[in-house]
Amino acid sequence: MSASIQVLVDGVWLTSFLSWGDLSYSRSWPLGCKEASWSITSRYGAHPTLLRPGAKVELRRGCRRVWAGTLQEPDWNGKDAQLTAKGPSGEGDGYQAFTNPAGSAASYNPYEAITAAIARGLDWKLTDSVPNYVLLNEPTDLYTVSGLLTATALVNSYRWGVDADRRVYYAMDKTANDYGPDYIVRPGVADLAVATDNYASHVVLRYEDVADNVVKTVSYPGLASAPTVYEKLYGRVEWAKSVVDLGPMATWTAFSIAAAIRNRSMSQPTWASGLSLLPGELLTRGGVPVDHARVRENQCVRVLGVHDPITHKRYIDFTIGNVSRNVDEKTLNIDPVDIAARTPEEVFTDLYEGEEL
Amino acid sequence: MTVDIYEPEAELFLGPLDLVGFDPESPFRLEALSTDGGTSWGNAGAIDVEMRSFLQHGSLVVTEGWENRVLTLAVSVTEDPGLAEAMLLSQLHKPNTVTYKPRTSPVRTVFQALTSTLVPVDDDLLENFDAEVIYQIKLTCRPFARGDDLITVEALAAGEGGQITATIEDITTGSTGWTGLAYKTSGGMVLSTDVDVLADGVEIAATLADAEITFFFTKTYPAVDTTELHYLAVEWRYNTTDKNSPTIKLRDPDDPAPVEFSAVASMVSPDDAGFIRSFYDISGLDQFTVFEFSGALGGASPTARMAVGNLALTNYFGTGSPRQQLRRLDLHGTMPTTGSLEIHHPTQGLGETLFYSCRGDSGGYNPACRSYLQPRTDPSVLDPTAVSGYYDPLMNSEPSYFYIPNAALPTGDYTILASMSLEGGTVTLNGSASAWMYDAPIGEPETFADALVVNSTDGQYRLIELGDIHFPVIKASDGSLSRTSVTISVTSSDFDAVFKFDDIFLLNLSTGQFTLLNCGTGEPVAGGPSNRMWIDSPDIGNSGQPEIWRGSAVERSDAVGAWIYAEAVDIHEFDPQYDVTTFLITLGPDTAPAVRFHYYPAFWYRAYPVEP
Repeated sequence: MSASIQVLVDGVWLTSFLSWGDLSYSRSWPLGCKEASWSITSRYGAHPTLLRPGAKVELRRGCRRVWAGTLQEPDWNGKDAQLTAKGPSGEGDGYQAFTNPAGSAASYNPYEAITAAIARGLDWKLTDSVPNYVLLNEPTDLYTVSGLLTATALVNSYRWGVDADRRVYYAMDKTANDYGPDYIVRPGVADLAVATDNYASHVVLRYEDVADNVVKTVSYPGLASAPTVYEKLYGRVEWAKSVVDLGPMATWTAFSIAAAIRNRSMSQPTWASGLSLLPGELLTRGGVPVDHARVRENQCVRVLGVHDPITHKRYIDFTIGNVSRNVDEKTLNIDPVDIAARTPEEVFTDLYEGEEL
Repeated sequence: MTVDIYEPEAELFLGPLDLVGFDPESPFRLEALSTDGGTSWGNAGAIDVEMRSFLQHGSLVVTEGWENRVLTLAVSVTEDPGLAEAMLLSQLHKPNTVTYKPRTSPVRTVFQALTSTLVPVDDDLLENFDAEVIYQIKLTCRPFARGDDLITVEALAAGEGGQITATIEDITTGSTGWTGLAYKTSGGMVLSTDVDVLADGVEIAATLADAEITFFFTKTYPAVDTTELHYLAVEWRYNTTDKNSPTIKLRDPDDPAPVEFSAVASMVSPDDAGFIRSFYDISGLDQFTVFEFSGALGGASPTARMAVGNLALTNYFGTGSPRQQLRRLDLHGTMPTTGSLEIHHPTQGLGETLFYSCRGDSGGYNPACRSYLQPRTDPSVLDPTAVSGYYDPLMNSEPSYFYIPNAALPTGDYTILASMSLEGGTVTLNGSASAWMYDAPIGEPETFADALVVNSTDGQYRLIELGDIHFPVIKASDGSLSRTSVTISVTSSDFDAVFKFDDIFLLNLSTGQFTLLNCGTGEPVAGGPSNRMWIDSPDIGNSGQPEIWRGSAVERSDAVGAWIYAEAVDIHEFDPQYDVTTFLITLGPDTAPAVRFHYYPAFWYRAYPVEP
């Protein structure tokens, strides 16, 4: 029998003082640890003071952390309660991006802004993956730490998240390498429905050039370039958007935004639904059944037996965008990245405004 | 009309209330009725779950657990029904026990009721004319029955606690009867036939660059009886790259065909410096005369040496050093049980304590890996304070390689811990694992530790979490010569740092559980360092909650809840069908602590006698 997952609230093992169950948790890409929920029965009916909104929550398996976050207001019903915790990425919304802890100047360097926020109390740990340079044009607005990360990630098609050890990390979507993906789904276990609505072959942006303050147009891919494989398959749709509101920017910045939107919207077959898996249905690339506690966001899954019209392969690889696990029911739901934000407009809104995907 | 099926010697109690014995002083009379009267022992219903599968015919169904048992006791109440009803009710609607001893059984069977209620059976005639009322007591019980004697078993390794170890060969200078040879594995060119008898082993040396050498040792004994002791413990050592764990062949004098065995567990020998002790499960063989040992080494270094040391028969596998023990817990009963696991050292605080348990049928799985460490340029340094008994200093350019046969790595999700000590500096650790078949690496190494920075100043050995990984990295067929190679590299630009690398521990979380707790070191004091800890299974008496405790008094008079000292907690499983393999690390005491399990054996529905 497998090792259990235990819940700690402000460092106290929940198992040590009350009965709890129905644990489920999710992690997403971007943002990392997303939500955890479970139900409790207070032994004597009293509402423990430990279970206060804002308490630090940790899910552990052995000594390994599998999820981290902050407790929300418990939903009490007599001596029973439904508890929910939110992941640590949102804590970055409560900190503005400054160059130093004293907040004397706005920062557009994510590493610098996080360092300063940590000094002011943000409970994150920095990793070297976070860019220690400015990728944005300097708008006059002040960003939140989370907003700055999201805006920076948009520009170079990265994403960011906070993991179960509260480490903030910044990465590209994980894809299969020469040795294969991280995980494999056997043929016949799951199907992926390809969605072709809201498709755009070209993303056209109107932006204000920082060099001469003239409104110009950029397109990705180029409007005159040879048709892409997507265009050949799904036809041509030019989708346009004005980003003049974002302030003057360099041509390459506008181009990067166009590319990011294009790459994350209907540029390739995308999925109308995710996978729902039981134990033993997901394998490592080495063929070993995957323990569900190990599945995280931004890992690459290969679904065998599904035809990919772009690559003409008999499989489809995707990056895990959301993974949610019901521990008692032993179910695992995996959604590909960008499953919900399929239209270019949604991608733009979500990426730029830092909403959850 | 009621029938009393129970003979006077039989017993049936609800809590303290006697349901079959007749007390002449009693103002009322309670009598249990037979199954005809409505009594039923119920059954533990299996919870079967249908799984999605590729089965072509039928569906895959697995048993995930058991439902509570519902027990019905029918009783007849006469003479003073009102008083009797009050007595019955005082035992109901709360956790209680039903104790039953049939006349023919020497032991009592106990059902643990979670709660219960009373259902009167309407019968006007009986009630009005015979002043007899019949009730059915409905008890919701835990699924399994148990015995009523709390028994204690000790987790033991070979030679511990009265377990038998019979020496076959105790090699000293002048030992005789050994022959052997070393040959080039491919082609069989003989390199040496000289067997050197040293003070601690018989050794063959061979020189061959860049090719594999097979070493072969044999000795013929007067018939060795193996009917009682099923494990053969063999000590051996080598100085270059081990290709895989060696195999042995034994020849029964009555059957000329030799039988080959692979090791089921290996550990660094606690008694003989530099040797590895491997255990071979030789059950199935009644006796042997000829012992053959063969192992293959990489011959890249100038002179490859392999030696065989002492041989012994045991009835347990497992072994240990003062700070770590691989042991087995032999459980009685037929069904999974619960109880209290105790870890105890007579005089010293346990310090940082890791207790891991898994099913006892996990092949040669041993979480500790030093016996698989490939020899390094500089020999490892003896250190009794290290968990494995040895350490390797920091070597920036030379990673440590562990070659682990896949048979010794049950499939699953592993957490990898390391024991190391560091004084005055910072080191960076990297860890990865890769799959090998024979000599060929397959696929890409999986990284489990990526530039993990460790800093410490006190030079104490500590357990550090390196990362997690699925093993095996790539599936290989059973019995193949597949192995997993784990690479640990430790680097530092800090030249003042004194670093000691002790061992890594691979803990399978898919098949087992662990608890990691700090008990404090030094002399045990109430409220201070603890030389005992207890892991209590969830129990009815504790609202179904598990508990962990530490303290020093045997009767727990100074035990405190140990949750705040815990780094990892879990609910350990104790199933007598498979017995339990236990692995314990304690960084405090200088000698091995005991591991004991206090429990009631569990049975499907009737207890039978057990010999603790």
